[in-house]
Amino acid sequence: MKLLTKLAVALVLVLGSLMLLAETVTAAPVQPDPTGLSVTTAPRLDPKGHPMVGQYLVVATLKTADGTAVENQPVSFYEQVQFIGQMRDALIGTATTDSTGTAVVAYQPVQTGVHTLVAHSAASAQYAQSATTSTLQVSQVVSPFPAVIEPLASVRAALTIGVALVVIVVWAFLIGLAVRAITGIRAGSEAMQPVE
Amino acid sequence: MVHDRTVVLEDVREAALRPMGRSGWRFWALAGVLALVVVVGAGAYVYQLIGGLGTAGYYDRGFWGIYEANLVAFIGVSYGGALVSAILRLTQARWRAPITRLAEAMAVFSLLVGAAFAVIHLGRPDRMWELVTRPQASSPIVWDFVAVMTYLVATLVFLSLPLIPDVAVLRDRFSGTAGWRRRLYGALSLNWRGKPGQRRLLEQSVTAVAILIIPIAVLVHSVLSWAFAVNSRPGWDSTIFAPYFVVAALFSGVAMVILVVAGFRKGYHLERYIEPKHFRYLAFLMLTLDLLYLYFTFTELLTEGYTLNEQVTPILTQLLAGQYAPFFWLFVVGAGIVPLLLVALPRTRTVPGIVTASALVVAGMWLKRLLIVVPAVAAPLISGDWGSFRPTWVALSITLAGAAAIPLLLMIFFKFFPILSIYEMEEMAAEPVLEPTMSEPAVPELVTAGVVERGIR
Amino acid sequence: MADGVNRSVTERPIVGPTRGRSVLSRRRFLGVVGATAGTAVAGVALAESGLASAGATAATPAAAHQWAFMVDLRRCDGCQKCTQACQQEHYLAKEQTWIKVYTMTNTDGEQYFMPRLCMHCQNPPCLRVCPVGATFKNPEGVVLVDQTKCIGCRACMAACPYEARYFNWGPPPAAPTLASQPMPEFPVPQLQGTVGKCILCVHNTDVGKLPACVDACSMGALYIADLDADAAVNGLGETVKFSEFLQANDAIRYKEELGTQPRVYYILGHGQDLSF
Repeated sequence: MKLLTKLAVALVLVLGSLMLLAETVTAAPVQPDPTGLSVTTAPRLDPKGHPMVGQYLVVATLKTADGTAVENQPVSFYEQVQFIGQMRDALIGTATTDSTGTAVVAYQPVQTGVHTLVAHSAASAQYAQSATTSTLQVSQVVSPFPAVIEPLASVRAALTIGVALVVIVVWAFLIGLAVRAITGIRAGSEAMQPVE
Repeated sequence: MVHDRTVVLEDVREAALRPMGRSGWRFWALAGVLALVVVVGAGAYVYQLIGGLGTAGYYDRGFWGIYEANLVAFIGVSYGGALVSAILRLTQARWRAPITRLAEAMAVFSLLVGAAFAVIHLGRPDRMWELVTRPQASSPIVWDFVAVMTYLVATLVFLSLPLIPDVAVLRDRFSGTAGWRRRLYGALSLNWRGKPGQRRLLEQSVTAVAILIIPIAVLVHSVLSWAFAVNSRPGWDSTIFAPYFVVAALFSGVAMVILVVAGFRKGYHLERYIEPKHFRYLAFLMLTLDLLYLYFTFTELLTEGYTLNEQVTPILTQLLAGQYAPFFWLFVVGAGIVPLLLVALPRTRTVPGIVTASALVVAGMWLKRLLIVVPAVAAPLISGDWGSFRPTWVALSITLAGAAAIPLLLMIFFKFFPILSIYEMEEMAAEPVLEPTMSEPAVPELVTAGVVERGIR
Repeated sequence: MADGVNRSVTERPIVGPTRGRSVLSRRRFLGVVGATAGTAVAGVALAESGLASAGATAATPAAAHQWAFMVDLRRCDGCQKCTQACQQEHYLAKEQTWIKVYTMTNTDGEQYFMPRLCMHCQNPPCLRVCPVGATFKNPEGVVLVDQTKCIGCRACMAACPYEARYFNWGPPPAAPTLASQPMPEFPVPQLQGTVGKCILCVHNTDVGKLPACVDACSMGALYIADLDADAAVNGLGETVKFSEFLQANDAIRYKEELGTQPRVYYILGHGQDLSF
């Protein structure tokens, strides 16, 4: 009996340590490379090379810890905005890094002042996630939304006044005519002289 | 035209005042029936006020329907008054004299009923006063309000002015008696003594209003049409609506005049003064307007439908070949073609034939207004099912009440005021007849009963 | 002041203020001209302001937001949770679908779903035709109805090209006792005989909450947007920069050619053509 229990204990110990060994072997993944994201902004230029008012480029560069550019990684760009009760990160757009690790989106702010921009690259099997923020001072804005038009406003105003005047004149005429007829006929029983 | 000569036509006066005397059982029976219809309608309206407009058959896909059509139709028939009194006056058509009072009174009462429907169709009539306290100048509803009020004042003035000398006749009749009649007519007659100065002032005033009432009348129905036409809704987004509605009003108005004149002529035995020629002349006017209205309808449909665009084509399809087609073609044949033939063919151009044609026209034009309102509302603007308008007993009884109110109000009115315009008929008689071609003299004494009854074909 | 002819004859100066009857008459003349001009100006101003209140679309600069809306048609699955949430929030009758999901067919014959709410047009036909000014646009660009002013003529329903307005044809459903009186920003309970429509849940957005439909949409197809902040968020919490999102996804506005200048944008998907 003693020998059997000793064998069982040994078996358990061996199996247990084997399992532990297997776990440590399979559970240890390859750590993704840490990456660093940097972001800058620059005025956007038109094809002739002149800066476009109110338009910017947000440039994010993704590199690994040792400075190698990370290619083909999607980078999301956000603008921090206070909206419906809380501070939110509003997605501006997504761009994929090129061979130099650069991703660019166009950015057109709608308000002057300081804007906080966030760039974020998601974790993948190879690379860890990284994020960074940047601020941008905006002094001139061009609204991306269509302006409200009020067509024919002066014509409408003139027409309203004109029609109102006509209505007043017509009423004055009708009432005046009725009053004249009533008073004239009432008074006319003696005073009027026969004409013709 | 005012002359020193005055003529007193006793038989005209007797006939004009005949309704004011004791009425037989037929009068009271008819008045009773009409009053009953009006009372039932009033009760239905109270029911509608409590339960909301949904009780009349309205819902979100049928938000405008019978009341809006009634509004247009009843204001439309009032145009007969403007046409007969004003236009015929300005064109100096002497034959208008026996029918002006009937036409003018009908115009006032149908206008009042039409304006009543403007109130009946509101969801919150208790806030009507806001149209005066906070009107918005850009709204066609405000334009409607101003236009109808102006037209009402003008029509009332137009009825009241020639009434003054007639009321003076009544004052003189009742001068011997004591009582409210003498006081009433005394006050209303405004000291009318038939003096030349007074007659001249009256003529001037009536002519001035007659001139003014024509553009007002044209504008009123134009403005009514714009409540529909200013919307981008397919079926209403048409530039021709204003003259279209004006012609519709004149057309149905003349027909209504014929009906009213025929009814009261029969009821009060006025055949001596209102002759078949009056019906024939009015019928020719109606014929002209019938052709004009058919022309406008055709133009409207052709220009709307020719491009076969996505928005209007479904409505036209339903109107000409779909769910509304039976009503549309019934209108075209029943109120367009048949009255035209009845009047055009000499065989049927009799008083009964003309009255039949007019009845068809009035009913058909009411149906046509429904066909203008309902399909454009029912058509889906985005996608999905068509709406519909199914009037309930509430809507129908209120509509019938409006239709019954007009003859009832006229019957009551002529209990107090002369049914023929004594002043105008006597003025016609006093005038020397200038054109020899007017072979039928306006002086009724020369017309014997036998000639009238034969009916000149 | 002058007291007669004599003074004016003897004391007529060459330069400087004149005295006497000539001064009176000139002053009176100037007074008359001034009064006439003033009345004319006042009259024009009155008419202009009347016209302005009737249909002007100028946004006052003091508004903190300029609300807008976006519907991503690629995501709508026609579940109608938005309709139900709106009706629950505002105690609406079943027929009052302030946001309504239409089943549409595109040119390929495929079905898709289109939620339609009030477009909160910047040139609203409904506002122009209202006879008593019960429909108005608030400084934040939201079109609202004052049901205490509405006379129930339904001219606005005739004018709206989007079928976005609903009427209280009978007694409205009762709302349990609410602390607030019904007001345009939260017209609950509705009033019989008046018009109601989507209010863009200004009662929610003003206090940092989402509109009922946006919150309820589990597909994240409905976005509430602010043109001033240039942001839009849906019920899933996805926030986007509004102008970029619209541009990137070729957003359009429905029936824009009517000149209504709507504030609701649609992202097309499922192959819809632009003329839907």
